[in-house]
Amino acid sequence: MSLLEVSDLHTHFVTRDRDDRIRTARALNGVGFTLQKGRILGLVGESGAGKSLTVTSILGLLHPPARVVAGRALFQGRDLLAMSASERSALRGNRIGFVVQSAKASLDPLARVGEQLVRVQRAHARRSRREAMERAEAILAAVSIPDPKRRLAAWPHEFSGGMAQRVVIALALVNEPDLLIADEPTTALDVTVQAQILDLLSAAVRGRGIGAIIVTHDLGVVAQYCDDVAVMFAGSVVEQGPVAEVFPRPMHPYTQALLAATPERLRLGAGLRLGGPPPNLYALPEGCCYRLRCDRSRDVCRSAPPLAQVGDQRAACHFAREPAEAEA
Amino acid sequence: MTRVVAELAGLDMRFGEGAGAVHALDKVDLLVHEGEVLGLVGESGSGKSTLGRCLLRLLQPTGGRVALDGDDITDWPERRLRKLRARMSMVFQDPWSALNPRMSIRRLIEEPLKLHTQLGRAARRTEAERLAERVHLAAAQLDRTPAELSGGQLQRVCIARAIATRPSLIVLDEPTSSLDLSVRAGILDLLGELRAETAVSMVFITHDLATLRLIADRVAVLYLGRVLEEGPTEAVMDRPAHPYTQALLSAHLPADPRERPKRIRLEGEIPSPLDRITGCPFQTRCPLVEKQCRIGRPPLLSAGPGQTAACVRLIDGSNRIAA
Amino acid sequence: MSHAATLPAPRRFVLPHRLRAWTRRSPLAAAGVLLLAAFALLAVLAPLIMPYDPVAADAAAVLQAPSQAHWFGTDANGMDVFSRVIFGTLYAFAIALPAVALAILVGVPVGLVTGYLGGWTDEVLMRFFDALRVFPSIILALAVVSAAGASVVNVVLVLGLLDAPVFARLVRSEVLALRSGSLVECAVATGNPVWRILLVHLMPNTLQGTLAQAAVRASWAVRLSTTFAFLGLGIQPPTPEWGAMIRQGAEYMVTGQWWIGVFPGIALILLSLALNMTGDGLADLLDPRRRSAG
Repeated sequence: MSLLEVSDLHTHFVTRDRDDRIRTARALNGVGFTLQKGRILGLVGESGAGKSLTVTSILGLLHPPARVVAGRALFQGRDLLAMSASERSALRGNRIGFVVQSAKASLDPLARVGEQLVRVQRAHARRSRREAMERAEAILAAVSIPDPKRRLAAWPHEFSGGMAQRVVIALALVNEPDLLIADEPTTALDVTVQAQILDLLSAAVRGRGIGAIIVTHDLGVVAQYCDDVAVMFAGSVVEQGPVAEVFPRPMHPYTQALLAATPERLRLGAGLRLGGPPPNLYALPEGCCYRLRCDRSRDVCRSAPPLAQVGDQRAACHFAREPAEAEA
Repeated sequence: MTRVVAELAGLDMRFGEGAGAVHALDKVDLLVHEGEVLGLVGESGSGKSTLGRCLLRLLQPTGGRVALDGDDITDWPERRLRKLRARMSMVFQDPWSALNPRMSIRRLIEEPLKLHTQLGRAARRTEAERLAERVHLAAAQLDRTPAELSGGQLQRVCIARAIATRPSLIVLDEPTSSLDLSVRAGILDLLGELRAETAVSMVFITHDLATLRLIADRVAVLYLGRVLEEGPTEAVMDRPAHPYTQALLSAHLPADPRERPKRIRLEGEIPSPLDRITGCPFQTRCPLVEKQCRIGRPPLLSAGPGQTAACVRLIDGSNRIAA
Repeated sequence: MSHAATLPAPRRFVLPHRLRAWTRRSPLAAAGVLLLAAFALLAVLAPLIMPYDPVAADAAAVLQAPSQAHWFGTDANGMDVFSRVIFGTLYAFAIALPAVALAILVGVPVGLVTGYLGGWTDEVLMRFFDALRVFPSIILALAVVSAAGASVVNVVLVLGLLDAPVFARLVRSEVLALRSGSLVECAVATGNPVWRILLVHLMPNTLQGTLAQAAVRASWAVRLSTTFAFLGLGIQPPTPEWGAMIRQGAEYMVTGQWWIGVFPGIALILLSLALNMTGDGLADLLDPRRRSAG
């Protein structure tokens, strides 16, 4: 059994425009991926692709006008989307740890760090304060915060950006979850600090043998820290598979374009594929959602693309099996 | 070497006074040559944005000298600088907030022409259309407002404005940081074209060394208000002399799983610019720190042809961190 | 490849749709605007609607209760209260509109300049405005009007100047918000002279907030000007002004002739409510953060 199996997830935003007409933004259009125990999945895409929305949909953290309209998200065999809100919140922070981008904003500014670590434990388990405090100290040490005993009494504002992010990771890990989800965990940090945090995060996941999802726009983070990757475009996963297979041999034209635009591969003036306008979620084209930006687009792309599979690698494209021209 | 377009000498910039003073720039010397792209790289608190603003005299430095095309403009009043602004321009990180939301794209591109040239209405119109075409904007977009364009298109508008008066210097402050990867490539491509076609000098400010490899001729590495290393891009990237540059380069995550760079693990984070440090600013995190580093300010020493670094361990060649 | 299909469908401006959308988003504003329009219509059409001359005394019809002939009754001079209430609308607008216009004319430039320059100019002016606000505006206005003489022009001047700080503060805070982005820095870097930064780049971007505030402040001006008249400053009876009428009516309240004061009172409440609702609704509509679907 997979740790997490998301299939056919649809999330819509329903609003009214200035002329009082109902508009539906199809933000997620049948997202599907699986995560095995002990692996790290990178959920990657550009702004508006729906990568963060996928996570918030699964965790039941959506706010109106966003709404999950269809789909399944099996976590250890139980459908997160079919659960009641209270069942889901019993899992969040307990079996599923969540790390957000802005660490400072997600810590309670009015509670000492130790208190927050105790609170999250006692919300989910019967544990004495003393025992919870001991575990809090151990987890701070585990995320390499120097002098953890003293830091338990510190206030969130006394921590620098990188240290605050460590505290958030500690909060996510203190209940020994089976799944860790990190949404852009290092985007707000400096490069030299980013590596520290990612090292820590992957060591924690590997050491505990749990599964993790890292949401990011940075292909470098995926290449260096993830086992699997799911590439999102316009609310769909267009390609997924093991990093070691997808990165050297991307099958979907979007993945190819994205990889070609990384600083390592980019050659200026070499007739690169220009990024088109972001997809209009209010009026997605029929068939392949990428076809308006795709330079290999043909008439057949007006029909929904089939899922091509080579080994563990899957891509939703009519031409996925044809070799990409002038690649590699 | 070619003509010097801009010069910073002993530039000092302090914000505030007394104990709360932030020393954003500490005696920075820098030259920008004609037609070159100088990359300024640094993390938060390095003073890279402040440096760009001092260069264009959007800020008045608290010490040192700023010169453009040989004119010492350090103490020029804004009234006098205004005319000079035809010769220097800036592209900002966030094109959404830089452009007046109430003006059409056409008016935005025409603005520098209106302010700095004698062109009549019709001539301005034609010139704006030419500029739009130059930055690969469709003519139909000229009559839109900023809210109707994407971030990449808006950044093209900013670049069109920046080149409108054919300046000798353009400062680009993180021009691609707020853009998506595929859009970013298009902007870098455009800047590359401009570099090839014109003699304009560019100062490209960024926190991403990998981008500089594509676009910069020379690189200066800033840390806590000081230039720690400077030199030709290739040299600095391939043979970084200063331990900080080595660490910064090794922190880059290549988007290729087969490439596993040897990483230099730095302890701790960038100290607050409020704390005054005597000696080398990198001493608190440097794996090679020794007693000497804490005493005097390390001088810029030669580390190769055209390459200098401010590290005392350069003298005996012990400046390399074993990864 | 074509991008045409990714562009949003052309938005044609369909007035009934747009109005319905506004009404749905802010029913309060819609009600306010409707009420305000009714008052404006009353003011414009007053000469046509009034059944009697509002200042014609009729000794034969003194202190009559509301009836078929006199809907709102008559006052101590035998003047028709209904006609006077309608005519009073004209006065309310004639004082509130110029007062708010004056407040904007003074306040907006001050806010622009202080917000843009910052430093000690900003400090001094803002402290001065703070000091002004510490005084209860009514008492300050009373003092000035009684010293300068009670004429309509003086009332307008005092109300306008007293209210200028409100607009100055509003515009200043919007300028500061714009400064925190790169709009101003970009304008300076392009070589804009200061006047152009203020008038072309900053002012148009502060107009929306000013507009919404104007309606709310007009309501304040109406209430304050009627207060003056009530206290015997400014417009004197028998001029058909609501404040003056309420004052006159107050004397007859105890003897049971309630209609003299109550009807102009209701008119005052309705107009000031209409202006407030319009202002709040406008602020709602214009605030981009509250706009859900653009």
